[in-house]
Amino acid sequence: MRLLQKIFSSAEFGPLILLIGEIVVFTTLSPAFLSAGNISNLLAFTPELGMITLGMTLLMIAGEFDLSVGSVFGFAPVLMWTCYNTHFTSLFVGFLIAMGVAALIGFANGWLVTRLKIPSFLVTLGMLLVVRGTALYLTSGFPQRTWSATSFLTNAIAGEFPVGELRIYTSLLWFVGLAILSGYVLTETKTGNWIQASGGNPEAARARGVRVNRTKIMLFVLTAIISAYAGITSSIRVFAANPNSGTSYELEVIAMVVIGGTALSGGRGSIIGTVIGVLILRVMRNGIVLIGVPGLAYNIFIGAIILGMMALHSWLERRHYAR
Amino acid sequence: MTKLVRLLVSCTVAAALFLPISGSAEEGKQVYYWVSHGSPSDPVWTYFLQGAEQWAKDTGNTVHTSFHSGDVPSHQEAIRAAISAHARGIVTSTPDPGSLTKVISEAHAAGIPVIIMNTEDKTSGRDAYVGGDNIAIGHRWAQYLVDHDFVKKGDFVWMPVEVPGATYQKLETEGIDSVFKPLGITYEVTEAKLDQAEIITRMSDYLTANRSKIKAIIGLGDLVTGSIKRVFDQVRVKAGDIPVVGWGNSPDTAQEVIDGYVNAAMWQDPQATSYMALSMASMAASNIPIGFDISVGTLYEKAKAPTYLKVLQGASHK
Amino acid sequence: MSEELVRMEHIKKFFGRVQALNDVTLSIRKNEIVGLLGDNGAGKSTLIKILSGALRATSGDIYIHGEKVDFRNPTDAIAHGIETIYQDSALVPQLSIARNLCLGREPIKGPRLLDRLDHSELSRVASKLLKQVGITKEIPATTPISALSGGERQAVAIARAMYFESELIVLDEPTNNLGVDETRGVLQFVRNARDSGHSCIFIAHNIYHVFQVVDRIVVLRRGKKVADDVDPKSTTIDAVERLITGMAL
Repeated sequence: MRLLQKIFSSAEFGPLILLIGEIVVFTTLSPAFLSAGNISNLLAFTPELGMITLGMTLLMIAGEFDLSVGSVFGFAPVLMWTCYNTHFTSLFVGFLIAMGVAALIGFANGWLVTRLKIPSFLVTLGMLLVVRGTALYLTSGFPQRTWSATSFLTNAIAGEFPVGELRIYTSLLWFVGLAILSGYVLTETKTGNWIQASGGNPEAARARGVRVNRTKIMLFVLTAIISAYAGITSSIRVFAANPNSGTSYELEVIAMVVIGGTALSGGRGSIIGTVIGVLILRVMRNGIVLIGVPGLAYNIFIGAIILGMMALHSWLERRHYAR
Repeated sequence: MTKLVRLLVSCTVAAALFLPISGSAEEGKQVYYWVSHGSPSDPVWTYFLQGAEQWAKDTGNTVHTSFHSGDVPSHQEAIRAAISAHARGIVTSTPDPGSLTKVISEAHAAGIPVIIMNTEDKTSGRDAYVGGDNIAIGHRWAQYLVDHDFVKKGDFVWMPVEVPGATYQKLETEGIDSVFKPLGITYEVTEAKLDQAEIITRMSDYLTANRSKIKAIIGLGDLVTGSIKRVFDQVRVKAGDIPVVGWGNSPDTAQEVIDGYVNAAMWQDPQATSYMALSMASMAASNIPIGFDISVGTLYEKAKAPTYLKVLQGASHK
Repeated sequence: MSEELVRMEHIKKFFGRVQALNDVTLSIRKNEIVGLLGDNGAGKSTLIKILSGALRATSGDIYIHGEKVDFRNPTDAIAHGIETIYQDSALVPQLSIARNLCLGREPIKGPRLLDRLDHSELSRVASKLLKQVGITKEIPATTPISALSGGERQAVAIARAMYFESELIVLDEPTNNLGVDETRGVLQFVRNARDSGHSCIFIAHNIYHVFQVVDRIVVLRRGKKVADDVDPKSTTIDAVERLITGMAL
């Protein structure tokens, strides 16, 4: 009973109800929604965006944003596959180079935000353009071919295997693993405490000896690396490394994080909530195609969900603090 | 908290009960999926969509439509959703060459025919293609400029496009290159993006900077070609000073052809493309084997432009 | 006379051409509560900020246990045993009491790589300190700070200063936005802190509050020290007021 009560009063409860409601509605309208094929479909794309949201959650809790995640998502696989297709390096070394460059991009973001004190919104907006432009320039706009290569690396990152009637990608396992790790770090470690303090009251945290700048830089690097890895995963799975891929992903990711209950202002958030937020938006996108919502009306639904969740969160928060 | 739970549960139940009334009415019908890689705000795709909606009306079939703004994973996911829903047929455009090969084989394994419209992908395994041959179209534009003596060896041609790297740009450029390269004519592809205001700004900037060396313009997309008059006016280029060919699927371009800003424009029969593609899908689903593609594309000049303008204006007033 | 803890000597502070502090010398001994009084612009806040490491003096020295020190930032001051309680308590509102108390020096258990918080130690420390500071109400250590009243937050801030074994707790107008009951509570917390072995220096506008709690009063006026070692038990509020404003007796 106490467990039930704890679940009811948690911040994640609202989003969970919404997710369940969505699934119920879509299943009723289209029985194919819960078919093995469609679930496999849902679980294919979800880990890619999902991984980025985990990094973004921690970063937002620390009080910062990263708008360049979509660009890094598109740039990293282009870099990796260009290295490989031009016979510059092996696939594995290309992978390391792409991840290394992503880490540098994250470090640059973190350094500009913490040392020069420029708001992260602006720094990462600029970085979004620089990285996207570099990807386009490097490839003259043409996508890189990827499907001619399969190897241990590609199988490890996005290999496919059947589980009963479902078709699962290894990326799902990586996503789940990363979610568990992020949740652990956030709630059970000293680093997690520092992340929350950096976002909740950075001056107070600094005065207590918390290495706020170092924490933030580390989170920017982490988010960039995860975005690169997610992009590489996507390129392997969809057989294309397009310099334009990942466009607008940053807003989708932020929406998922916020729907899951993480505060835009920082200091508070939850990994479980984020995972639910990811599923809410992904289920909606998948469901409305399935049931035949007119293509032009899509965004109405997505926007309505986001607004609805925000209103719900705000109402719940007022109730919680009124007690 | 219990009040909240009750509220949400009752809403969910209500929705679940009421909506099937509309949902189940469709169960007896055949459902087709129409998946576009375009953006919902792209006016050209509106005509394609109209063709699909008209077909649905005329045949009594249900067509589920979606737009994916060039996002490959999202596009593939939509096709897979159609497969899970046991669609009768799928009509789709191609976001990236080769990106649909795997999902098409999955559709075929499920017994669902796939017709590609608008952006061809020969090696994808599709059942048929309805649309323009972008390589041939690029070739025709380039050849038009050469045949009318608008360009010669050593000249430079400007080719603005909304999204560089997209399939349509790549194929058109291939066709253009096959004419220009042997003749020693150079060209440059520049990005204009998908937002109308931004397109005008970027094109005006480029034209201002490079005016003296541009001998002709090929608009590789509808939005850029439809912006020529506004760009020319902004940079004070007179209609006809620089010869222009390109896509002509918008009322703006048709008017530009009439007014002399654009010499010849390509009509890609957007409504017909969707309509015929869906018919092909229906045919294939009825096990009538398809052994042909349907090619569309007419280059219209000043004389024929009013006809197309009327179609375009009529369609947008509906 | 107990041992000298902190001595600030000949402190001068200029902000541009405005002199905020003019040759102020002040010492604080062990186990005492010093009240620093003065009108607006007297320089109390500036002096306190120098002591807590938030500002640097234009000239003058600070000695702790007779040794000269240089504070470059508040973290340096904390490292030397000087903790400052601000009006807004400098707590992280979204974190729990226990996490706030140990912020920056969280207890870890198990291998260092796992970085695992010792939750039971966190709770233990929290209950011990809250009791020490005098909070009798049963507040679970996992309560977020945002759910506490102003007075309770100040109590947590003071408890934190005690956890970090600071020798001197600096309180910058701690009762400013608090109600009557809460103010009484904070003043009691300050007494408890002294009784647990921490010295305090307390700035307030409200002389009545100061009188209730301090062992000794120092008065600043227009950047200069005009009175020291004033015993609240052997003077009147009236007299102190006149020292503050500079009006003749």
